[in-house]
Amino acid sequence: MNLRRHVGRAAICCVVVTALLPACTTRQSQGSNNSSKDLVLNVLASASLAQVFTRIAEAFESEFQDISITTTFAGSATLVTQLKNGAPMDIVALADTMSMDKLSSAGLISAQNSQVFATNTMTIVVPRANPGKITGLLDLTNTSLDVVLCAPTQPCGVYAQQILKNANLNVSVKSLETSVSGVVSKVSTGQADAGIAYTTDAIASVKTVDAVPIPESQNIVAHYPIARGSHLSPSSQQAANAFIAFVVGATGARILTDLGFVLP
Amino acid sequence: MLIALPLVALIVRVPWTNFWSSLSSDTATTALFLSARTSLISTSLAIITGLPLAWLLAHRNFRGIAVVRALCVLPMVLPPVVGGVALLYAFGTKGLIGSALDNWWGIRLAFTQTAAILAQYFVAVPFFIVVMESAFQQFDQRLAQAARTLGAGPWRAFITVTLPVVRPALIAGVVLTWARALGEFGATITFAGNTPGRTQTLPLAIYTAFESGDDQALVLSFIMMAVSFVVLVLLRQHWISALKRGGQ
Repeated sequence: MNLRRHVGRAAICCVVVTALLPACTTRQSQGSNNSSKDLVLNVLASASLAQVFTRIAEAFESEFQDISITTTFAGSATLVTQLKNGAPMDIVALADTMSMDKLSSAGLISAQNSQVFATNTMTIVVPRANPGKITGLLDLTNTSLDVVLCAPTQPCGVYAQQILKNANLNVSVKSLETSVSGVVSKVSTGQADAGIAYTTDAIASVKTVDAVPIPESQNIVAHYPIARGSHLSPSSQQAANAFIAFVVGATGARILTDLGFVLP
Repeated sequence: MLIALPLVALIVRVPWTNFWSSLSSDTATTALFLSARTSLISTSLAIITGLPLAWLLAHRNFRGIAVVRALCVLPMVLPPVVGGVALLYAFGTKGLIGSALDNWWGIRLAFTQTAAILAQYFVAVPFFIVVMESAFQQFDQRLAQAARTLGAGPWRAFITVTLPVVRPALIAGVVLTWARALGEFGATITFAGNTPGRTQTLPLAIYTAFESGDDQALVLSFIMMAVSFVVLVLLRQHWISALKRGGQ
């Protein structure tokens, strides 16, 4: 009984200490050293920008030591919903211009300061070694194969549907994912035989997926806009402008093209 | 068998060689601290608000008590994501209360750490109320009344007589509530969003890691399983003693 009491008390102390600790520590960011006086920029970006924006944020933070970036990645439609419901945002980067227009109509960004900073195309992704022996879009109609796509409510889903329409094909789907990361993870872990994802996703996950190209005639071009939130404080505005300039500038362009994005 | 198999399958697939490096990575430690912090606060809130509510439900009978009781228990049967959507439409900037909060005081609750705490509170407090109401009902009021006749005020009688008697149930209730708060996913991701360092609690971090095909999902899942197991072991002792005392 005594031992249990002591263990119980020790456990309570541990929990209390770990709970209070964050109050003493600083805001976590992607591996940088920052003080609590840092200006924090909330960057919301589509799931397909996860790898590239993580790199860009790291490069930006090492150049601008007093700004720290907090990133949130999700499907573009999810981000729009979150923003309409009051999610804090300084910068938003989405996978299609239609979603950005929705934000503009809601007054969350100002249409003039939105600009397209990158373009992307789509590709069929398959697990390494292509067990389903997929050679093109036509193979996706094979009902014995498990195909995953993005939900049509997300830009990547809209694009995938467009591609299938261009190719005049009907595909029965095993799962509709809420973001392209879901598609890539199901394919890379072998739970699906194929999926349609962005070309950049295939490059970012080159160790775990193979790509089967989609002919240009049937493919789409995704335009990625970036914008600054409206109603930012002057210091946040300045920092946000600096971030956007960084993304469209030389360093950002290099990181984008390294990961397979095509500049507009 | 059906319960054991998935758990065993998980344990078998945990990458033991990368275990510590995965656990000590930025995302993992951030999520661990965040979960500990938010669950502690939400559980404390549940205790503070739950005790009086449970007492009321156990000892007072007023018109509409059935409705109050149903409301208190509702979040327990409601799908968590529905709770999250409901919280968003109450406290989001377009929400019932949220729009007033935003327009008058500039307070924005949705997609903040407070939202994560609120989401956990919403789903977990019913557990506490249910356990404590039952405990208070079983508690022999005459013990407290005896203390009152000896001169103790109602508050003192509660603290020195009632609480110690219901202590097994209190501990079981706290642990159960905390475990539920810790494991909350649907309401958190809907109402608080999934931002590392701010709202990405352990379950959200597991889901995100899983979505990116990251083995860290297995490591963190194992941690949560271990915590759940400890919770069960702790609970078992107290449930047994609470059952033994019941009706005494």
